[in-house]
Amino acid sequence: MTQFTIASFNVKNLIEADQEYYEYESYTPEEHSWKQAWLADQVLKMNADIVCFQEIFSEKSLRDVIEEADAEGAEANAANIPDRSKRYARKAIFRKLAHESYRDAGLAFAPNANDGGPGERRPGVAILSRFGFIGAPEVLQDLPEPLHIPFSDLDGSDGGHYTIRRLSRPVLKARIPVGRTVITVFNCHLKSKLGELDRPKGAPFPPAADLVNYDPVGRAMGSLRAGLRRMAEAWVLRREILKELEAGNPVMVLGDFNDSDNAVSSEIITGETPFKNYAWMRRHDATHKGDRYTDTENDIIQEKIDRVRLHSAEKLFVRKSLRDMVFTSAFGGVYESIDQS
Amino acid sequence: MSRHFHPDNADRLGQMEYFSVLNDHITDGSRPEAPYNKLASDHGQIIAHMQLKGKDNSR
Repeated sequence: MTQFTIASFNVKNLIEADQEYYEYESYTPEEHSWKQAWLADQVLKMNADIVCFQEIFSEKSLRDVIEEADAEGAEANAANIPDRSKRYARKAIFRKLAHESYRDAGLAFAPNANDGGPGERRPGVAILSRFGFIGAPEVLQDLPEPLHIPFSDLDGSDGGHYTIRRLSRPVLKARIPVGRTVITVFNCHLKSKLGELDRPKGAPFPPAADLVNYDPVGRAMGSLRAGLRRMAEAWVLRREILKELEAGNPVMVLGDFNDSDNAVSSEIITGETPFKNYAWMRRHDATHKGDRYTDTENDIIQEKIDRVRLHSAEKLFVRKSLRDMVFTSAFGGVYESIDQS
Repeated sequence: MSRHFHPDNADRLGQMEYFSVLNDHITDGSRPEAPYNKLASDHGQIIAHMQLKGKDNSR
């Protein structure tokens, strides 16, 4: 048996002290020191073989966190792990308590192609792997071809199209050897729910950003744009996942999906849930009322959907355990699970 | 995760044994009595504990 752990961690804006990442946002040396220590504590607590990080502005700031976690881990090992001369040294619990250093681990960092100067920084993602990587991890952010999504209106007339040329954050794809298996891991950070508000040319700020002159219609349109972008990014990721699945490779997708696992953007990533029995369903080219798929066709359809389907770790765990409540974010009193694997 | 790790799949490579969530630090900022999370992170961490079938040659 080979056991391993794989994790996702959105660290929230990791950058060195006195660096303005967004306008007016930076850490004092003391705040940075506290944050680095907190992150190191969490990394130590997670003790995961593979960690997918989001919101990393600089590789160095992440390396400093990992170094601090290792230093704390070494100290904890000295205190908590008995040496071999102790008759109880082989107790199973000590295997769980031991911290395995990340000194020889692989670290892949994908900076954000939208990154700018002070105050206009944009965060990247990273993967830390105790098993290293096979080949160089790949970064996907600038699309080789712009993605044009055509729409047709309900009366059949041209509904225009939506285009993206670049993802809001990079997707990092890595092949990770675990035992005799090689797993393709995707680390993503999809567009948030933060509204994309209209900003007329020359305006110092989008009018709907003015909360005193609150514009609910403008803000709802901002949410629509953000949701559409998130879904387009999810589709780009889905297309990459399918290439791996069609090659027969085991796949794990982790990251900040920025919506819950039953949101449409998340369902685009995981693929469809198959219907119970397609032999109950009228076929696509039906010529009469009772013209349904055959039992053989049902088997074909089930297999075609199942082989490209991803399963939420949270859902699998809820099924396996008696716990029914998982959350990874809270905003405006809404507790949601938007970080997924 | 793909069906290679689904517990119902007879041909699976392995499965998830446990799923941890570290979220004690998550508060929505509207509760002044709640402890820190401004500097910490506004996201919980999730950890899938996996087990692969077959002979161990990794650790």
